[in-house]
Amino acid sequence: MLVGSVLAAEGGGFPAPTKDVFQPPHWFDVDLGPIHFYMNKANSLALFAALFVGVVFWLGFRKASIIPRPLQNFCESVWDFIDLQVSRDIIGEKGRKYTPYFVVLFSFVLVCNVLAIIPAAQFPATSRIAIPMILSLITFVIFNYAGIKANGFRRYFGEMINPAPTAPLGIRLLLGPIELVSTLLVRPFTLAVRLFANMFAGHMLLLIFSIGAEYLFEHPPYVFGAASLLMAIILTGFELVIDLLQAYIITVLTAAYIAGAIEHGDEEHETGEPAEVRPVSTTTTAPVPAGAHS
Amino acid sequence: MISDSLVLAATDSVSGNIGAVAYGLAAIGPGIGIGIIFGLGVQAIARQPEAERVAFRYMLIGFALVEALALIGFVVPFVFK
Repeated sequence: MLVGSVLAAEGGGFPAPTKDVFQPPHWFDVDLGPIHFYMNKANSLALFAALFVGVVFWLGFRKASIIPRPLQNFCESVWDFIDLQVSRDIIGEKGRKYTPYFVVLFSFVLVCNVLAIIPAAQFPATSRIAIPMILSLITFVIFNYAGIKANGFRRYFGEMINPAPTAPLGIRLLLGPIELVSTLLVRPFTLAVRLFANMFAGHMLLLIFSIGAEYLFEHPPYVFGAASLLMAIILTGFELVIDLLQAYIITVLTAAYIAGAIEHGDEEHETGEPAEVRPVSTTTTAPVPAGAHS
Repeated sequence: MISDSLVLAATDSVSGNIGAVAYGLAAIGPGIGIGIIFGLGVQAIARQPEAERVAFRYMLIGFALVEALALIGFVVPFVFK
């Protein structure tokens, strides 16, 4: 009972994964002026994910018909999910023009994440900080631009510097910097790092249990190898859930930031009741009385 | 400079990997946070079962936000050597 655990603990021979697993070897290097361009597994998987999303949606709507074929049906269901549950539910009617961006963001992040558990690839393309960083930068630009366009530069930043005009001066002096730092620094940072850290941690866990299973199978108490393999299998399922959740979260948070940025632009007509805008309910729950409906 | 020597001093007095200790400390808060989120969410659903869809969505959003802090704690020891 102690043999397997001591052998694993002393580290003699166990090839523990370090952060270098996230820097796969370069296939080739090219110097294009100031840019050092290379392709490796991580790069090509991100490129593949982008092309995959593009090709699937293009094929789905190439010959769009009223009675949808299977692929068009699938692409439309993704679009409907984002349009109803994310754009219109969180932002309201004004959110519909952001739906294309959300659909692309959701699909791209989902495919990049799910590559972590697909057998031939098994590397989450979003586990290197570059892609989440760029996505969060795009979101930052979009929600600030939307806020400035809806409210005007002075009112938008005035709202950030002075969120509670009726509060006493001491509290206003505290709230201003907190709000500024929270909106302009913390939001993009945590948006990127949340996605990156989730994928990084998930990949590390899978590696530790898979390499551990292979290592422990060489030593007599084989039950530890089997336990490690079982954990790797369970974590693969868990990783799928986390992939879906993280893709959804990054989309929902982007929508929430945009909603927060444009919300003061239309005080005359409040976003109304987004619930009433929904056509047929896309759920299968029994209909509830109108009063209890969210 | 000072933070360098403090980190090295801490690493000298811990006989294992201080990154593991750092993650252990970082996981306390989010553990409590996730417990609160899902506990109150389950309570809300128990009081009003029709609210399950709404409550579940906000539970998931809250979970992802809180989990991010724990995972940042997991990643930092790898990033900073």
